[in-house]
Amino acid sequence: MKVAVDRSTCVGHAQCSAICPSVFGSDELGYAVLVTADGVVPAGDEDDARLAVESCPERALAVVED
Amino acid sequence: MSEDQAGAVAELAATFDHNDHAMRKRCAEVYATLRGTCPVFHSEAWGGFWVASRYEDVYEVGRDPERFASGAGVLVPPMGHGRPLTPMEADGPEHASYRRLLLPSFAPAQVARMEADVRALARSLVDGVLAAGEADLYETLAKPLPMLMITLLLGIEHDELFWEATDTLMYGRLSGAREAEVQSAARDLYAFMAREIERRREAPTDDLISLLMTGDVEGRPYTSDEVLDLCAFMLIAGLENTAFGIRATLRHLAVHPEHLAAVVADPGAVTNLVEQSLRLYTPVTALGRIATHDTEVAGQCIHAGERVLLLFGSANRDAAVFDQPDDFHLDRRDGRHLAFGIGPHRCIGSHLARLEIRIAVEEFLRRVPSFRLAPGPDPGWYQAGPLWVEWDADTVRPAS
Repeated sequence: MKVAVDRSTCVGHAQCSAICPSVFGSDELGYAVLVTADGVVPAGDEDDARLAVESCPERALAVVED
Repeated sequence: MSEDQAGAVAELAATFDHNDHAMRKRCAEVYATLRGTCPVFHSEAWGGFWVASRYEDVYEVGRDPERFASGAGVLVPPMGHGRPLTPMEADGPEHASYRRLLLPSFAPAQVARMEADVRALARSLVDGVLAAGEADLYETLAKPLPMLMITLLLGIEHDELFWEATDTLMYGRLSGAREAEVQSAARDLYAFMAREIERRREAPTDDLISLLMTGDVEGRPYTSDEVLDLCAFMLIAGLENTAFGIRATLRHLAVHPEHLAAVVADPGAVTNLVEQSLRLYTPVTALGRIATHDTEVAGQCIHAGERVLLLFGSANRDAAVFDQPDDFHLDRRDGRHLAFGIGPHRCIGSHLARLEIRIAVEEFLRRVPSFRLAPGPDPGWYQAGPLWVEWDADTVRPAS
């Protein structure tokens, strides 16, 4: 599974990094960044990653490969 | 809908006031009616404004600052002290510059480093009420915690003046305080902040005020007024709203023993508790925007210069987004709620506010795992003010 962040849409709610820190982090301004190469979701964290994507109020995140 | 019902809804819309406690008390029903029958409606209150009540419409307006601006004021009614509440009431390059400067100080990693300070303050406040077996948790915990924390960040001495002045600024205009009182409170607060700024000109420190003095926009340093407005807003922005959030969350536990037992048994559940509380008891019920040109929202024509209120409290109860929207779901995350707004004006202090609410709850429950409302009428979640609770002395847990 792979996820993506649209950095131009993120405003830093940081729900993603709170819900699935193995995939999402935040930069020095608090905007979302991917912490794994190409947004690959570690095995076992798929549900958290999906919940994180759904939890973004700005809709800045997407599951790009399921 | 019958003619009578239609008339009742028209009346509800025309007289709608998001500040009205009686309305907020039954907001589940009011918001559902408005969302279902006239999602974008016009109220005659406070000089008149449009209201976006559905999640989707709040999302659209909030994320479009080109069409819906903030610089001309977002509070309805305005504070009336004649100064912009920046960066909340700013647009364009100024707004972008203010945020760029402030965001690193309130980013998740930075806020995580504040946890020990917030916890120490909360512990000391909780220690102060244990022996009594009862407390007004609004006065003894919800109000002082954000106040003490922001004075720490701004590098200023705590002063009763702050609370009284911000109280007058935030609520005075709603409760009929005389114009002169509001102006005088604002003058005191801004004069205090101007002195603090002046002091740092001679001896810069590493606090937020010093940081804001270093800002520039489009190649020029901030003016003295810009620095003053930013510093004053930093002081007042997170006080009443965070206090409201702490109070509403503790009150929820006092009236829902099943949720109290659940979070005592599983302290990790406090995170969801806080998110549900923010969703259902949204501290900032609504903020406004001004249309920059003639436009439409959900088919409703809005003219340039007209005000549109983003009704976050209603968006957060929209069944189009949240199943069983008016129930408190301790087992659900519901991260999409709009308690901290949406779009480029998303509350900068959201992570600190979340931290303060969570720690206030954790530290109170650590010592008082069982409590209830004191006898008397339920003061409700929907207004600031006393929250008297009581507990049995033999249920208080030791400090360690």
